[in-house]
Amino acid sequence: MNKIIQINLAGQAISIDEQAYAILSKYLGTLERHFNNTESGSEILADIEARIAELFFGKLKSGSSFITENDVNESIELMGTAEDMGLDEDSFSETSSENHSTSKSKKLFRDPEDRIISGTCSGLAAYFGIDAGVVRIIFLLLVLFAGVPILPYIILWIAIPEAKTPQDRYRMHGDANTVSDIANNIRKEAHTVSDNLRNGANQISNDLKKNSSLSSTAKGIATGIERVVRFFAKIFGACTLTFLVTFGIAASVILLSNATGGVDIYRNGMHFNTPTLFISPTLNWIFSISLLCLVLIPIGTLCYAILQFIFNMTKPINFKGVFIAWLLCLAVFVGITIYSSGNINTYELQEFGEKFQNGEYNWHLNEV
Amino acid sequence: MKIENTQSQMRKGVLEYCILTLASAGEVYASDIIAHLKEAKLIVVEGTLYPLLTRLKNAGLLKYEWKESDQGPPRKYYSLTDEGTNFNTKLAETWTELTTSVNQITETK
Repeated sequence: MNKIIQINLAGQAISIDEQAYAILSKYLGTLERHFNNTESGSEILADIEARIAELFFGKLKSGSSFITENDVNESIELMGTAEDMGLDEDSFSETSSENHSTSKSKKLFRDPEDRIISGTCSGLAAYFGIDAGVVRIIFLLLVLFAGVPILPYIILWIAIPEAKTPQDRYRMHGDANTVSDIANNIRKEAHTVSDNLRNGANQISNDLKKNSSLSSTAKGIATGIERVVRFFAKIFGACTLTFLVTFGIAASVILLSNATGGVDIYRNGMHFNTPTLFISPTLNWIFSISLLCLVLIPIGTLCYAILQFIFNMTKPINFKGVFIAWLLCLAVFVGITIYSSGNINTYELQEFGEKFQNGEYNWHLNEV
Repeated sequence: MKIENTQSQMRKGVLEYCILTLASAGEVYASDIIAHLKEAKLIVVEGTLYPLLTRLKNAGLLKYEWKESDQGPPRKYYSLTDEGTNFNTKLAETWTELTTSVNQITETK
């Protein structure tokens, strides 16, 4: 049993099966994303919608009482996929359609059907074309011996969308299925960048010769520059991401050691304990955790945004929610700092400082 | 180098010429253009045409008029602008020259 719903397509009221509607709206959604960046994309989309409406209208007129899944699939086949249409989208600048399809075809998803915690490992495995077990073992070893990937894991968990539809699952595995293909894609992208630069230069000289409209030149340069900038921005983003994650981990380690009562170090027969900031363990906990959140929330958000940019993801970030959470942490932090100013571990800190200045801890410099 | 790319590049230029020629009959509906192009096996799916029509219109070669239709939403009927007519004439000349040249090469090979 299926519900029949009424929709408005290009100003026409059309009765359509609910299942068929789902397919249609997914198709139009893909087209919308596809044409959004192109000039007059909305106009092209309206033309296509009008044509589909007309096809449906014909069906309804010839006796069907509503549009079925079959009808929708038929018209989609007739209109073609976004990739089919993309062929002609930008033939003024001589970019090949293949670089377009590679950026479209593969996307990072979490795999809900093959998961232990969140499907992040299996999603990454699908993206890089390796076995999920391998990713999990590497991840587990890193956690056990270094404790490193927990923070990045949580960020990835939040940042990567779940593969909900068959299309998502398809794009999760994509066409480029091996690591070497990804290397090829990177090479291809770099190649396109240099091609664009060359084409841009050629186009300028051609246009100047022909004295033709400068607007198309400007457009060509703009898209060329945009691609170059995007390429380098992605590399820069990846570097920043690495730095941020390292910084986040370092901050976590320092603050958590403060929370758990300092670190005991045994070396060369010596034993000492790094002093904590406050005498009260509870205060140390609250202080460290609030400061940690204060640092990690912006870092996490930034990492999330960079990941979205690198992997072309579109899930919006709830900046307001993040900001409110951050303000909360700030309030707790400021409150605890004022409240506990009398509780500072002055004696131990001074002792540590004096010993440090006297060179009692210099062994670690000599030893390494 | 992929054969598909070269083929699609070849088709692209010709496609614009064909669309302009079809529109030179005046007041044609997108579906009519599609029907002709499909018959000539120049395009496979309808969706290919809409971006092309919009681009030719933006370039000032085509214009359109809305007309009410009893078969659904109002339709756009395309025709050539003056600039489009000139453009098409020049393309026709180039096409004749090209076919002569290409024939000459391929036949005397």
